[in-house]
Amino acid sequence: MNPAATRIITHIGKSWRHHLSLQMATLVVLVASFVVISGVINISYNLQRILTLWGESMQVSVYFNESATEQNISAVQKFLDEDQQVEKPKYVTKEAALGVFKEQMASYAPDLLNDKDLAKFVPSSVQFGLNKTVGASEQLGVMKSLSDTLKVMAGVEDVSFGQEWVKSYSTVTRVLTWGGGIFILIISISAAFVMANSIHSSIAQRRTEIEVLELVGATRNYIRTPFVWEGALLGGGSSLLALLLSFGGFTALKDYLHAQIAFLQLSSQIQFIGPGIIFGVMTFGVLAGALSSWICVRNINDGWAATHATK
Amino acid sequence: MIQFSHVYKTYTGPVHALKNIDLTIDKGEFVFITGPSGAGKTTLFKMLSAYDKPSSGNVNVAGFDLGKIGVEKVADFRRRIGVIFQDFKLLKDRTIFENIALPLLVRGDRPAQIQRRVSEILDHVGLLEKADQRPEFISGGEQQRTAIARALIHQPGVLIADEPTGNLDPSLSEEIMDLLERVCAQGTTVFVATHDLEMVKRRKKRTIQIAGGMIIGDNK
Repeated sequence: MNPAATRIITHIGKSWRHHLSLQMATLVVLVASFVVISGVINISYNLQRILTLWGESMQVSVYFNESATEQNISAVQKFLDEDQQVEKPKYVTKEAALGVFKEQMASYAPDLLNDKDLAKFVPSSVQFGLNKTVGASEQLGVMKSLSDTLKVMAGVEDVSFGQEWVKSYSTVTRVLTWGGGIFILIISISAAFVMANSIHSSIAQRRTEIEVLELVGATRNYIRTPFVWEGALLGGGSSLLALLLSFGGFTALKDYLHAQIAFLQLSSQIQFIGPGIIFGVMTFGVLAGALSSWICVRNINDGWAATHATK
Repeated sequence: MIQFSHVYKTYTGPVHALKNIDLTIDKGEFVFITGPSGAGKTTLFKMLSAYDKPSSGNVNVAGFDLGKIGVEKVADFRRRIGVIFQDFKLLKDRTIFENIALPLLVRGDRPAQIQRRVSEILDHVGLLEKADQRPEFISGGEQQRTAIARALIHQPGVLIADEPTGNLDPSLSEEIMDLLERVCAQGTTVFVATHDLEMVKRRKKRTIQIAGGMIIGDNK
């Protein structure tokens, strides 16, 4: 085996043998922190998926006024066809709209259906949704922008897309994204401090070793590398264990959750976080561990460790 | 090989640990530095091993200007000197062989080369049979010989020892000093800080006396 790899493995092995209880305590706290982090990410991830599903079913209606000409309607349709964010615009004639209206209102107001002027109050329209490439948090902005453009086009009476609902929906997604992000940041910083504390203790107990290594001419990288690997392994291992625990918990809860929200028909939307996020959490664990170790060892291993120790 | 010019060292307080030290030691010389506790021997020792920098003046050892040396050059400098401490500074969780091999390991020597060189020096200091033991299971004299072997393994031009016999009984002290003289005879400059005046008198070597941070005698 490569001598550098052997040295790093020996270093980590010694660290665990000599400070087993401290390392175990650190591992438990870190795993708990990462369980909370992955839990928050998982909840946020699933809510986003549900909200995106609901967002996909939102429709925008462009109503034409009485004086709208065929050219006006064609201009609107052409504008929508050319917009990459718009999905399947559909023209609904006055007659088709009236037919649907009558069908829906037949049982509520049969007299109204015989009104000869009714056709005047049901306009023709173009209806469309947004492309899936538009994220949940962007939908309100895109709809507002399209609405503002369409409203000033010739022949257009009004544009409706359930503004209030979309606004609330957008606020929820924004709060989830930001709130979850801030929460994860706080937990992550705490986890990094716990890691740094563990590594700091390990380094403090090996101060003599650092002094001797400096004394015999070891470079800073030679001394620091095993500590940085130790931190990276601790961070990566904790995040992996936490993800395994989270997956176990999710699997155990999944059937119960599916049964409880069956009426919402959302079973297919509730899933464990994807491989990309799993990779991200583990990368964060590795990097946070390595970085906190590097910062701690840097404070001691400055080339003059013995000077500080004997002052 | 070693040169001090108008060296002052002042610690916060202020404590003047060294005052106007002028000193030249040639290649292959054996030099004792003596003086009472607090005279400045350890400060001088720290300057020589690049564990501290002078407040003013120049310290030049083996071609390195230690007053201006940066952290990136310190490792390089320490690979050219050997340092021996009173408390040996051996790593307790490593064998005698592993302790002695450290300077070669950090230099990146090949395992076969390390094996050969460490075996040679273990034989030279009479510790071949203790190679696989840990420091706590050998005597004080053997621990100091291990520290000397570690300081010599990479064949440094300068050997600096701070009270190398401070923790040893008289017979072991003589044994260690004999070993250091043999090293010097092979061309290594040896600098020994000690307060054992009897031993210094017996050895009849160049002796620099220091008191209150100043050189008060040099029998060159």
